[in-house]
Amino acid sequence: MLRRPGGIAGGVFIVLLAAAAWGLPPLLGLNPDAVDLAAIHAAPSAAHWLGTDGVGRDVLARVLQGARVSLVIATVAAAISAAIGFLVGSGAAFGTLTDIVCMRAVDLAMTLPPAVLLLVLSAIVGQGERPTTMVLALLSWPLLARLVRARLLELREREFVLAAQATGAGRWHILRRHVLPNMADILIVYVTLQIATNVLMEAGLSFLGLGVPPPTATWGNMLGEARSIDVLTLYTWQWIAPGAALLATTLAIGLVGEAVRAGFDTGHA
Amino acid sequence: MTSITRRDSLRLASASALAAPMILRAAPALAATNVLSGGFDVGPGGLPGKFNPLAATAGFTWLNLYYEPLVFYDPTLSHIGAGLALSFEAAADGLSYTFHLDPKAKWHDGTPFTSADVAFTIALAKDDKTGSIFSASLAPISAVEAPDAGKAVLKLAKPDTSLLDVLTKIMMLPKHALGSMAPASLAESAWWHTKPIGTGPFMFKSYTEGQFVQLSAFAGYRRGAPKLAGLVNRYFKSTADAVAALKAGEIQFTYIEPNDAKLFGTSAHDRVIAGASYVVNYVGFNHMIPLWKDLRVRQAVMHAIDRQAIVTSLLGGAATLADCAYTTGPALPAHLDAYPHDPAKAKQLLAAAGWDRINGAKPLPMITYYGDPLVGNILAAMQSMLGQVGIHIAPRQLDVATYNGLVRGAHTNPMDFPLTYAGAQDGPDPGVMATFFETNQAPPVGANVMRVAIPALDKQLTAAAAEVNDARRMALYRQAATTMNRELPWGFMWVARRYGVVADTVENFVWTPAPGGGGYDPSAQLWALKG
Amino acid sequence: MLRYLLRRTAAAALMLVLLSMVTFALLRAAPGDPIAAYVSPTIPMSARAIAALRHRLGLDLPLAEQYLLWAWHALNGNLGRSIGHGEIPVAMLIADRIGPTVLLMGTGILLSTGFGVVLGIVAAVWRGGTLDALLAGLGALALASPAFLTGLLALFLFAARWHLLPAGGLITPGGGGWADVAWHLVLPASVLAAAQIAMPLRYMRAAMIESLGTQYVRTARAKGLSPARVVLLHALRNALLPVVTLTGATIGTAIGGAVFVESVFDWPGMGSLLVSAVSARDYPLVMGIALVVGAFVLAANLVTDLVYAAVDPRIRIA
Repeated sequence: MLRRPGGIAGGVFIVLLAAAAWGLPPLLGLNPDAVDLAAIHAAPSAAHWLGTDGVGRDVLARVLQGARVSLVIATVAAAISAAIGFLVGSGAAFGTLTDIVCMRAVDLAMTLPPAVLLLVLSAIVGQGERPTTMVLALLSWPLLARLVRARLLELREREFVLAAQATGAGRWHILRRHVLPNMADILIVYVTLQIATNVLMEAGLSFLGLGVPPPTATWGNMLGEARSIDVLTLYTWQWIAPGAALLATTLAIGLVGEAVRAGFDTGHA
Repeated sequence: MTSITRRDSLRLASASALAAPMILRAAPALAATNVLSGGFDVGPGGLPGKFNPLAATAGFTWLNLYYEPLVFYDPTLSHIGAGLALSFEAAADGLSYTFHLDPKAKWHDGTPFTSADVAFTIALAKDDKTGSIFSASLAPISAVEAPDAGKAVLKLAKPDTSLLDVLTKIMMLPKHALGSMAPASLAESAWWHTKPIGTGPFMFKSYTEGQFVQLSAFAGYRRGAPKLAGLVNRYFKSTADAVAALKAGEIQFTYIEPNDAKLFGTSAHDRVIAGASYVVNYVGFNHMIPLWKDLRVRQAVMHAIDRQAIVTSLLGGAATLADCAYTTGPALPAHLDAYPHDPAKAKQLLAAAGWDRINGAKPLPMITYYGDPLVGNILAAMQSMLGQVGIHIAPRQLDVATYNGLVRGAHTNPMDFPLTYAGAQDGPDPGVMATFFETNQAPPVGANVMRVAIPALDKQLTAAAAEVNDARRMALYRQAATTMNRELPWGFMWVARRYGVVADTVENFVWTPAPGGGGYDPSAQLWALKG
Repeated sequence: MLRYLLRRTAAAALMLVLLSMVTFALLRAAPGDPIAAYVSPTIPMSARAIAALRHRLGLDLPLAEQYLLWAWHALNGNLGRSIGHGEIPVAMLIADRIGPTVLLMGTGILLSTGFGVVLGIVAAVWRGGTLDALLAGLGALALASPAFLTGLLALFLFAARWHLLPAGGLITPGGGGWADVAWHLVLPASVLAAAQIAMPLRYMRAAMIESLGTQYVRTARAKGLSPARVVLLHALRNALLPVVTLTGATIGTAIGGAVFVESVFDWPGMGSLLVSAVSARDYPLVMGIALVVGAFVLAANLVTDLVYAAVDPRIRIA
């Protein structure tokens, strides 16, 4: 399935990043909250490989903490939105009234300008890791619901589903045994690509100060500090490192997603 | 030292190159000669875009240039003296104040200013319907009498020693221009930003939405015609933008951040003005939860935080350590416990109080409404320092609405904010602290959001507020300050200094970083531009 | 055609009403209200003054009544007054900010679609080659890098390091005029375009490849027309259709990108207004912006569908 070299490279990068994010800090004794008021804004050195920030915290330790936060939030949010999208989509496919209600809701959710929704939602649920996960999950399910509904409408007419219905199988049974396996490609591709989108959106929210609040390090928070002229021009290491990590991560996940999608496409053809 | 200078000058160069102020249309024609431009609403004392003095919590630096109150602080904020009233006297029982109005005072349209205007303004400011934010603080006034056009007498139901302080913020308003308007429609009236008239040295000329306000000289000003032809108040998105405009010579005055003050201090073209912010920063203990009941725990927090290190490295030395709510003035006692940085002692105190049993390693949220990176860094430093003695905090920077919603909310779970990092206005009148500390000032009544309940402190603050004799009153405040220092209702941190910078071409300029931006006499009729 | 138009317009109006209800409900569910945002924790305000303010702003009315009152005023063209911005009418604030945002987004979308189409054609014509691979990589990079990161990088390189372009704002203070605005527009619009370019590029490439393979184009080629003529006149006409739809659909995401670009470049647009309005819980202002932006997106969708119908004769409009 991962015949594309890009997909393999992306996958390897993600595995390495995760290993570094969880493995390196205990190995090197890195603490993202350790303050050193004697070494404020220190450039990269042997003691601090990526330098320090405005209170002398180790930038490497904070980039790695950002990786942990980003990956966990993005993955959990993608999983939740996949679940919502699947349930709404299949609910819509199984009844006329639910179809109308669900699809109008989807229409509305897709009409709301994402920026407005993102800002208002984040104001409501507040800032933090859990609220940010919720915002991302709530924002992204409509597209999947559409896809799931379309596939289901197509499946509903297939013989094995009709046969299962004829034997009196319950709706849940049909969903679990017959529909879900035939939906795996949509779900896997969606979740993979959604993780990349979520990493970007989490960083964006934090950049605007609406995501995970400091002092927790996230890539978005660290980049947000570069809006100050000092950090942007004088302490470049404080934003280049998280920026590069963010770019590499979304690129890698995107490559994996594309490879997975390509794999499924050729598998079907 | 050289490296710092080089770095700073690089920063300055990049600041002026980078920070292009966010404005839509062209700035007011700078060709107009003898006009002083400034960022009068930049910084915490500003309130850009708000023009109604009855609803003004800040912005007095600008409002005081065209409106005037009955009485002014002097520019050192230590003494209240003449404003529109040339003199005043208080009755011995503290129940009446007589103001002798300046006979030369005129409104900008030429109508004389009289005691009828005083009665009118006080009535408006006491009336909730006008949207006045002063209604509660003026509540003790029971009547305003006007025995003749030049004399106004304020009658009080009970003595109120902070009345004069409040009056420095009450801008006199023209009865002949506003008298016909329904009080309820006043707040939304366009009058405030189209054709307001006051008695100050400058007259309102125009407001360009979101960008700048223009004033022109009032030749009939009671203390003599202004030397300047006009004033322009430019709005800026951030202090950095205002600083860039100042460096570019577009404006001659602005508030600046402490970091910028170091740069301007060496410049030959500008003069830096420094003053106390009158805002004491503190770590708030939520007294609704039992965690902080033991005084030894609160003392441990004080000993654990290296306040001096934070002031030196993060605040650039631009702050005075606070051991009680006051750091200056007659209410500051001579001897206070300085709670030196002593982690070992903090650990001892915590062990004695049984911290492992009451909380242990459980993380405690510390919320703040300050959103800037500087406070983010301060909280990170505190987190690290407190962590070393075994108090684990989780700083959270919230927006003001969420913060107020939490600390003022009736249904909030107290454990949502066991700790806060906040600021409170502590002067120039020491009486302003009562609303933060008195037991009966808990929300929704007052601003005692940490629910401090120390009976001794209540008694001292109440007694001081009722004392008419100034010397005895200050002695009572010193007692209250000693109680604060001993009982630690808050973990007192520091009072930051604030700075402004004015071009050398400006003469006789009077400005000080007062709370809300004013209340003092700017004597703006004397401001002048060289050359 | 007219009936179709009417039906779609009615549906869009209904969506707008729903949108306002959802925004209203969401806003009221947020912690803190405009008063909480207004009261400074540093300089206290008395309970009486707070209650009076709440009453004057109508925040003490039942929620349903507040919504209906807002809706009634909005129907009459009155979006109310901002609470956070000195009680200035919301319509006035939006009017001031909408120009810069439309300018930024319009230029950004124009640039991204224009370059996307051209590069898509290039990639399709030379598909499988080095150039195609390079463009594919470029597309993936553009998809992966958020506008605020590209913006910071552009700011750092072009403004701070090389001093080639202004760093932010709409005009030079004291300056103005179209040339000045255009000069300030270069960086933010390019950054926005870079963030948007991947989709038109990919769509165009796919559509061109499909179009080049059709009988119609092969016939044209067989007739001995020059390759350039075949590509530009025959294949392109068929391939443009999906890009038209895409451009309409882009507007929604471009607004999202614009929020970040405005934040990085101090661009005085609707995005920065919205961010400040949300954090001040400025109810009337947020409602007003949501309404205007929603109407804008709905109108864009509608126009896209109509253009699509006009371009594609296969779509029959009942």
